[in-house]
Amino acid sequence: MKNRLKSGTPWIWLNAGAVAVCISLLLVLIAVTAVRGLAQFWPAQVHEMLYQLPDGGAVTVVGQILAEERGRILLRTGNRATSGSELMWILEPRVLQHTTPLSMAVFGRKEGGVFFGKIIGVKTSGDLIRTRDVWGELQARLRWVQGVDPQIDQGVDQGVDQGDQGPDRGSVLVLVADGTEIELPINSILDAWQPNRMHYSQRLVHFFGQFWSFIIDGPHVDGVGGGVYPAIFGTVVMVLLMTVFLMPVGVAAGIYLREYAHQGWLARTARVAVRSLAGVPSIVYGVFGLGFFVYTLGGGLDRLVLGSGTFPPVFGTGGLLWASLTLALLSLPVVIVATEESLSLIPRGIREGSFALGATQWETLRHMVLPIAGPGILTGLILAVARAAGAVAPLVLLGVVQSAALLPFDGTAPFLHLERKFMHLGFHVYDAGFLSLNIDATRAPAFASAILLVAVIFSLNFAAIRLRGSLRFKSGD
Amino acid sequence: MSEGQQLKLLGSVSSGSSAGETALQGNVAVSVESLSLYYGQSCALKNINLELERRRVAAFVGPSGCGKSALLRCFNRLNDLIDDCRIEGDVVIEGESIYGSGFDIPSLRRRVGMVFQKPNPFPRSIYENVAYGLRLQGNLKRSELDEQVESALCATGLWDEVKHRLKDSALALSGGQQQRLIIARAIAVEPQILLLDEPCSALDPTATLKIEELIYKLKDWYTIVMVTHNLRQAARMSDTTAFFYQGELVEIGDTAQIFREPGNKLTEAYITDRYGHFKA
Repeated sequence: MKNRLKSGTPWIWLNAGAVAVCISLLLVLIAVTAVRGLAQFWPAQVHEMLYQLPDGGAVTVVGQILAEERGRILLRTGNRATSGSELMWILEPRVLQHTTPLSMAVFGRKEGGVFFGKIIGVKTSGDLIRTRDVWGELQARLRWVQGVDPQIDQGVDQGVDQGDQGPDRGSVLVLVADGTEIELPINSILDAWQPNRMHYSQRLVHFFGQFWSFIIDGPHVDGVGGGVYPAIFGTVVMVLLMTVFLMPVGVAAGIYLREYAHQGWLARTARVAVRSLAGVPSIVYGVFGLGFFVYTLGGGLDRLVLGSGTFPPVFGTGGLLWASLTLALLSLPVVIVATEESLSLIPRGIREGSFALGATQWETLRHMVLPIAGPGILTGLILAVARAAGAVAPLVLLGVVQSAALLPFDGTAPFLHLERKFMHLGFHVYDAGFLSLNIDATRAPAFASAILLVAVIFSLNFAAIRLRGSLRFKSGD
Repeated sequence: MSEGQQLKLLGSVSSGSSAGETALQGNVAVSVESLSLYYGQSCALKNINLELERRRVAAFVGPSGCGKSALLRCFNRLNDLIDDCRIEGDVVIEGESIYGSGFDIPSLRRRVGMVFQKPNPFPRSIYENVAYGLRLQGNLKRSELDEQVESALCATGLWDEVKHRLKDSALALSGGQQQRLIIARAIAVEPQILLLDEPCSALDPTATLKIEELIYKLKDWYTIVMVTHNLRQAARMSDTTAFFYQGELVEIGDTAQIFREPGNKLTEAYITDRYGHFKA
């Protein structure tokens, strides 16, 4: 036993175990988030059940099974406009009949969530169209609506639909669970499908289609459902802006502290201060950003440009610029420390060799030290940015919104609108997952947003790492 | 050698007078005048005076911590990199006082090349290592650069060994090759003086021999000052030997004479390898 301890074998196991725990936690995190977030896009079968009520009567319920536990079934019944709620729990023993009719259709709508029902016919100007292929007629009309009705696509750019349904394109007559017939305007339908008829490959295609529209569409007017494109866009723009502010200042400060500053008590104090700042909670930065950037700088700017007492404030309120600056400030200490560490790792002999050949300090820094330290500095930068990209707490104070009417970047001058409020995936997760009044309906989108946030940060990291790789290649010349 | 033997001591311990030194100015490459060096409060060199002649090899010997490397680093002002290092007195190189105010240090370092104890190639290609100093000097054409890199590598005998892999990393070379690369790097910028700080202490005997042959060849073009722990090497290689002890220059003189009949008991104790038993 003593020999085993001495050889260090238990330590190796301990270390390997730690790595294994980290990797498994990461995998579980991603797997759970992905499964719970992406399942909503899968065209699950729609069930029709005869359900016995406590008073002895029976009703027909229609929906997709979301969860089954201890004899209870969570059914997504959709049809929020008619039934009030989108979800219901039913007790399994009371299900008298259980079928999956092939003709059952699912409608994705611009507002009001999904709708389940059997298609009876298609109407234009009040008349039922006489055709045997009702489903084909509906699909043709949907394509027509989407082809000639640019409102649907523009809804993406505007963040939300404008509510204008456009000219009448007819409607579809649907038989719902309780036996009534409902008329759905075709303008209000985004997509329609019959999951019980679908093959596996069709389901797969549908799944990716739904997932894709979640990525490229804006949220629906009523705040339930729809995509997160503006949030992805806001996250990426904010991260890029933050990096633009962060990188030059952080790297320059690190270089000054390590290379130029006299290593006396002042430099040591600065170093300790920077390291302490790295440990300040992000919400404190948020409060600082609100007080300094928004109220002092922004408010001052408003008074200067627009005169005092302007309402509503333009810069004196949370916005993209202030949020990016605050997050840059938040990650600044990490970048400074990483820069200093990378610089201090360069062997003394290399600097001396360069100096001994007649290089000035600037030349040594520019041609020798920075190319060698570059990858290390970039690694620190990547870690800091990745950390800050997912920080939500400060954003809540600094202009992130549940639904932004306009993207921060568009075709009107000056193209990048720094003063605008914006959406952020991290906040979207918080909002959909914890602030929603209809939590059962928004839980899945929250998970989906979470996995997208992870994906966005992963892709930004990956791009940065590729960039670092090419830098490393150059300095190796 | 005969010329060297005719010369008497070039400097003597604590001789502050510079009257005799100016007479030799015509052939003096380096002249150290009342130089003292402090690290913070501790004194590393005490009032050093010496002169070194052109195109000859001078060896600085002495026990560890005696200040010989510190003195070497005064010649190209590399001590300036150390924050709390303070220097009194002056060093005159080729007639120019290098501790004068407003002195152009980078140009001094181009004239005074240096090779370090541990080979310190830059983490770049062999070619780029040699070209680095040349590139600093300004815009050379690619062909000129190639030519100068080749001639520097030829001068150090490295060309035939590396000409097929100039683009390979210099870190892949062996220790001896690396040290010769450092010498090539230093002489590529055509300095007047070459400082060697224990250039062979990290090398095996074969590599040491190669470096020694190289130094012997180079002294036709350069004034060479080397610090060494190896007394035999000093005896083999140098024309002038200076012995340092605890920050003081104990004795400087013609190598043959220093080793045959040292003028100071400390020197004698050191070169006869009795230093360990000797209490100063």
